[in-house]
Amino acid sequence: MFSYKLPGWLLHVRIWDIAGIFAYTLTLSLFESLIALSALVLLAAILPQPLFRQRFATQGGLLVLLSAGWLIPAEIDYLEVIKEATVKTLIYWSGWYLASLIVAAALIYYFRRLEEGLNSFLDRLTILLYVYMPLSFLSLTIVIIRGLVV
Amino acid sequence: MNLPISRRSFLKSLSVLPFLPLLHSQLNFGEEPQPLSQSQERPNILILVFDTLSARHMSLYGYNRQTTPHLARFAERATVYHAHRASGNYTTPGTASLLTGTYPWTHRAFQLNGRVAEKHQQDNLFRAFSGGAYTRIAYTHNLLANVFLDQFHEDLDIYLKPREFYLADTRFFDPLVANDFYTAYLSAEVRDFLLLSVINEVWRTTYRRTMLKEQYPSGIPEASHQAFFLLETVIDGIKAILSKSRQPFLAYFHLLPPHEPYRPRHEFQDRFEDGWMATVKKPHFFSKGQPDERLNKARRQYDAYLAYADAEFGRLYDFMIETGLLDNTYVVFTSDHGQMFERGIHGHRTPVLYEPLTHVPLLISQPRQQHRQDIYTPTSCTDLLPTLLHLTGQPIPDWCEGQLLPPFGEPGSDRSIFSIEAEHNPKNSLLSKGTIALVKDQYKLIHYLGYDGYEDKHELYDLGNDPEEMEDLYLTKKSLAADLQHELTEKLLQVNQPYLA
Repeated sequence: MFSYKLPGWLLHVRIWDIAGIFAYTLTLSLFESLIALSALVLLAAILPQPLFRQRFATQGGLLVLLSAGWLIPAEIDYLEVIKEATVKTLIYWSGWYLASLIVAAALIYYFRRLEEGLNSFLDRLTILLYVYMPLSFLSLTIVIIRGLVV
Repeated sequence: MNLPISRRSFLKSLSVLPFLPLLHSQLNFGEEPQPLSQSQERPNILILVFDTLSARHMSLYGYNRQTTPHLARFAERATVYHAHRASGNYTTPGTASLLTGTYPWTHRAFQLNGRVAEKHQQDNLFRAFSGGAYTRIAYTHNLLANVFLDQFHEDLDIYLKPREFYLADTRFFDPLVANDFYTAYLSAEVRDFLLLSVINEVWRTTYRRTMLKEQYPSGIPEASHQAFFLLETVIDGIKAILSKSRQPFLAYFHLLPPHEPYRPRHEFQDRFEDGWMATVKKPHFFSKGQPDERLNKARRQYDAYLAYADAEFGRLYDFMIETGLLDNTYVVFTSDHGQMFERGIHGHRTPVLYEPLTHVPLLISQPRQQHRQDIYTPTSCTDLLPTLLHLTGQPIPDWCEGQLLPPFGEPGSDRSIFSIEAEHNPKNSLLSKGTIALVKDQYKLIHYLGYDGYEDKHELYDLGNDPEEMEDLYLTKKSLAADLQHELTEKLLQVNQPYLA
């Protein structure tokens, strides 16, 4: 979306302001990531230790990946069921979401190779943090500067 | 020393604190609001803008469908302008011209979400009414128009954010970025707060499907993604604001209907399933390929939505009558641009500048006016600002490009009115890509600049004899076309002068 709008912005928005747009987007993503992480930590504190805390990275990673998998198409309106939802259909699709979580968690629990595969995938994903985190904190700095100076 | 209360009791007492603001709001520490009909030295000014309202779709202006019976009631005690034109074909340039009294080549708000050029930021309606005499109030549903209210917010006494009358809004964090609202707003255009926006969508979808499905069969009106509103709420809100505001006030309310999506209340839903078809016109070069059947369906839906908006205006008009507001207020009703349902084009962001896009309503009711007056002289949206200043006895600044509206003044008989579309022209470069329409007397010249495949094209229409712009006279009325073209070229050279260096 950002690159799609960039040509139009270049016609009338200053470079520092375009950097600000990018910074706000990343800062918002950072806050959402922290919220998601907080939710996981809270779950680990609430749920029985063997169920979640002992395999925090695996279970937490699975929960985030599946939830994002459901949220992203909902956000871009791919899932028309959200737009046309009634209480009944929401319960129906929430049921599918929970069922997918339970099934995936069970598969990971009973099939060691799946768990190893997921852990391997999550390990590789952490490489993105080396780019994402510095960019996010730089963006946060830009947002703070803009808020104070602009 | 032992405290007379325990720590637990003290903590319990703190639980009352969150409710104190509610108590405060119930107490009236301010002045009693004045009756709206109270006579005063300076009249109030109320400007109502209904977005995307084409005069060509109003029964008040002779449209085939009864879309605006309530505006027709208002017109019986107002001055009705029959040849009023917007300066642009979508909200950004149109609203900027309305609020600054200048054409787009001056204020330079060409692009979507564009702002008025910094050097002209102080040249606006609200600043012109500064000095303390007027309470300056503004609200808009339209996020593009809100870019200007934000830009001019220092010149406003009461600036209501769009969310004030939304059912829900995921951009609630904007107080945190008040110093940098514009950039944060553009960022929000890229993405919303993912988690909250989905939760909000789910909640509001459930709400609207269950609670309001019968009232709004096509869905609740929507300003942009997830920004739902009820027109009834904002009309009631306007009444409350006007009743409580210190007078005299200058109030600007820019409401979204009948801008798409077209979502009328149920009793208006199928009002115009009458089988009537508009004049079929051949597709333009810039056609979007919309077939006539689809255009006619969209037209019916738009007309129904307009009828709904008109009915809500009727409620506001009844309020004005009951409270006597019309006795001491100039009431202005207009639009920022129109809407197209022809030549293969549905919408308004397009390179063309035909009459459905640029011919907008203007009605002005003077205090205690009892009879209708009709004006057929071509007028421009840039004329509103200087006219309002003149009516309230204030000087008209030099930077205004508009002239006094008749009957308050006499614009030159050979005056030219312009409309400009330049969304793809760089803001701070000379005007070389866009469309410019010049209306002089009953003739209209349209010049297309810089478009691939349609470079330097002209069209000429006789609006007096051919109001539907069916017959291009550019090649047949060569002398007239040459005169108008020369005038337009001279004007372009003049406005491009600052950008030639």
